[in-house]
Amino acid sequence: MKLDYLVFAWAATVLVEKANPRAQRSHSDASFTNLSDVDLTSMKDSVDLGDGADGLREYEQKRAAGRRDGREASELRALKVEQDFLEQCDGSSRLACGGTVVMAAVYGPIECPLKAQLSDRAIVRVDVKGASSTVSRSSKWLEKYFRESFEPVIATGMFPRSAIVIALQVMQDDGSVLATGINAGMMALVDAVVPLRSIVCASSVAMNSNHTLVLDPTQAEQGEAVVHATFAFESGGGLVSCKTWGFFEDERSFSNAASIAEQAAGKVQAFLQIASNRKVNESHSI
Amino acid sequence: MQVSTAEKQFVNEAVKSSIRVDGRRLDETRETKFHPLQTSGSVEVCIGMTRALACVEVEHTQPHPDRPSEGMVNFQVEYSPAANQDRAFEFLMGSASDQDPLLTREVERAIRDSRALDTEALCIIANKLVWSLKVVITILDNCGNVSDVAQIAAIAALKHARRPDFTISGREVTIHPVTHREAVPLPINFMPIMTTFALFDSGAVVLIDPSAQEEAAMDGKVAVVMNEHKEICGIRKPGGVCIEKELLVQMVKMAGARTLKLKKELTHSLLSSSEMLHKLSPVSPDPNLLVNSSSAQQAVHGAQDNVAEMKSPGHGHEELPPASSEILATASYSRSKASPPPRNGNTFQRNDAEMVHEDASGTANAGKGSKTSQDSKNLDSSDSDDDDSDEDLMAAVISRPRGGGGSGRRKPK
Repeated sequence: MKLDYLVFAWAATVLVEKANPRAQRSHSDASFTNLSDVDLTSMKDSVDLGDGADGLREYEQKRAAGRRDGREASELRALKVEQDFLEQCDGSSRLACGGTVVMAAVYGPIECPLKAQLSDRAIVRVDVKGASSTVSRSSKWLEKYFRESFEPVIATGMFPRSAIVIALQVMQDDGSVLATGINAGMMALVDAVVPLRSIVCASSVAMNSNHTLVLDPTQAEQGEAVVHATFAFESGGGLVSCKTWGFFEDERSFSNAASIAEQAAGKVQAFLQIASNRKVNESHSI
Repeated sequence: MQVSTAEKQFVNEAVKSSIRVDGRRLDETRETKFHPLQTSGSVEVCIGMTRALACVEVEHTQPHPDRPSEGMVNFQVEYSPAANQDRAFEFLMGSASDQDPLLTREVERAIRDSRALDTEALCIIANKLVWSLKVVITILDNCGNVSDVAQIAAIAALKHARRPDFTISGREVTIHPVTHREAVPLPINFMPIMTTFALFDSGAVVLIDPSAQEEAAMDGKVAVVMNEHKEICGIRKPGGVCIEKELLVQMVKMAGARTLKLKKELTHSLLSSSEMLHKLSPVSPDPNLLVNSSSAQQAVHGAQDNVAEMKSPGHGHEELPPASSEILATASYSRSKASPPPRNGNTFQRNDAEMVHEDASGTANAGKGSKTSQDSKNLDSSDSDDDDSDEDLMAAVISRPRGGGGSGRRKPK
C-alpha cells in the first residue's frame, strides 16, 4: 500500500534506548585533531527497545545488511565537527559524516533590507551551494527545505526587522547530504549563539531492494535504494521535517524508518552537545 | 568593506612607519594552506583567514566551431553569503547573481590566457569531441586579498583534477569510467600564481598580501602573476596611484620568491592526498559516464555520425573485443599497414588533406610544447600524438610500446 507523505509527532516514550557501556566508552575515547574538533568513531551499539515495538524487532533480525563499508544497518558513519573557523561570519561549523562534508556559516541577526523585513520577527534565509551540479540544480528547493527545518526552532520573535542568514556549502557529497546539512547548520547556529528553542538533528534512512532499512546511506546506497527519507527531529522528541523519495510499501516500513532515524538523531544530538561543551570548556580553561 | 576615516588614517600612519596593523612586516605574507578534498578537482585554499573553495567539473562535449581542436575551460568566481556581511545583505536583497565578473576575468587571464592549461591537449577527436572543464571558485571568507586566493585555488584545483581516460579504436572513442581505469591528470604546462601588492603613501610604500582593512585604506594595487620558471605571466595595475618602475621590479622579485615557495607547498599537499584520488571519480554531471555494463566500452555515437567513409584496401573495420590497450593497439595495427592510423581527428579527415596537416601540426606542436614542460610525463599519449608523418605503422608501434592512439598508462604520476 502506498503511503502518502504525512507528518507524525512521535511519542518519545515508545522507543527506549538502553544506556550502552560501549557508547559511553567511545565518548571518553574521543580524540582531537585541533582545538574544537571532536572525533567520535562510529557509535556502534545495539538498540534495545522497550515492549510494543515488534516492527523494529523484525528489523533487528534482518540487521546483517551487508553494507559496502562494513557498517551494520543501524550504524552511523564517523562524525567529525569543527567550529568557529571563519572570521567574518558570526558562527561557522563544518561537519563531516563519513565522506559527506558540509560547511555552514551563520550571520544572525543582521540588518535586513526594507523590502524583506518582517515587522514582528526575523526572517531566516538559507543559501545552499554545492560542489556538484546536482546540488546547484536543486538549490531553490533545498533552500526551502533547510529554511523550513531551521525556522521553527529559532526564536525569531526576539529580533523583529532583522535577518538570520545561513550559508551551507556542500564540500563533499557521499550521501545523506540533507541530514548532514541540517546538523551542520544547527551547529553553526549554536556557534553563532542565536537563541534557539531546541536543537534539531537529522538523519536519513534508505531501504534497499531486500527491504532492509539502512541508516545513513552513502551515495552508492542512495542510488540503489528503493526509497530513502530524511527525518529531522528536535530535542524534545517532535518531528520537525521529513522528506521522502520513492515509495514506502506500507505504514510499518515508514514508521520503522522514522523510529530508526529518531534514534540516530538522538545520537547525533549527543555528539553535537559534546562538541559544543568541549569548545566552551576549552575556551574557559585559558 | 566599509572602513571609517579614522581607521584609514590609522592604517596609513602605521604603514608609513613600516608597521602593519596585524603585526606583519611589509614583505610578509599570511600563511597559505592547501586542503585538497577527497573529490578530485576540489581544493580549499586559505591565505590567513581568507578562504576559497574551487571545484573542477569535467565533461566531454562538442568543441566550439571556431576552435575545433581545442578543449574548453570556463571559470566562475562566486561569493558565498558567508564571505562578508555585505555579501549576506546582498543575498537578502535577492540580487540575481553572486558572481563576480571582474574577479572571474582576472582568474581567466592568469590561467587560460597565459596558456598554463594546454587546451589543445584537451581534444579527443578534432571537430567532434573535446573535454570541457568548468572551474567554480566560491569565496567562503573575505578577509582581504580575495583575488590571490581565488586564482591559487583555481590552479590548485586544476592540478588536483582528474579526467577519465579514453581509447580511440577505429572510429570509436571509448571513454573509460573511472571505476574501470584510473583517471588521468589534466595537461598543465606550468603553475601561475598571483601575488597582490597594496600601494600606500602616494606610491612610496608597498605591502604584500593586504588584509581587509589595508585593502580598504590602500591607494592602489598591483597584481603580479608568475610561474615556477620565474616567468612573468601577467602584471596588472588597475589605475590608482603612480609608482616608480623600479618598485615594479622589486615587486616581481618578491612575487617570484613567493611563487616558488607556494608551488612547492601546493605540490606537497596534493601529493600527500593523491593516493586517495584513484578511488574517487571527478565531478561529472553525467552519471552515465561513470556507471557501465560489463564490457568497458561505451561507444560515442555522436562521433560516428558524420564520419567520412574510409575505403582503403585491406582495412577491415571490426569490433575489437575489450582487451588491454597493448593488445588492442597491436591487433589493429598489425592487420593493415595501409590504413591510416586512427589518431585524433585524422580518421575523419582523410579526404581533406589540408586539415590533416593542420591538425597534425597542431597536435605535434602541442605534443612538443608539452614535452618541454616539466609535467610532460603526466600527459596522456593518446591525446597528444606527436607522430605526425605517415610513416610505417609497425615502426610507430615499436617506437612507442603503448601503441599510437592507444590509451595511456595505468597510473598517473
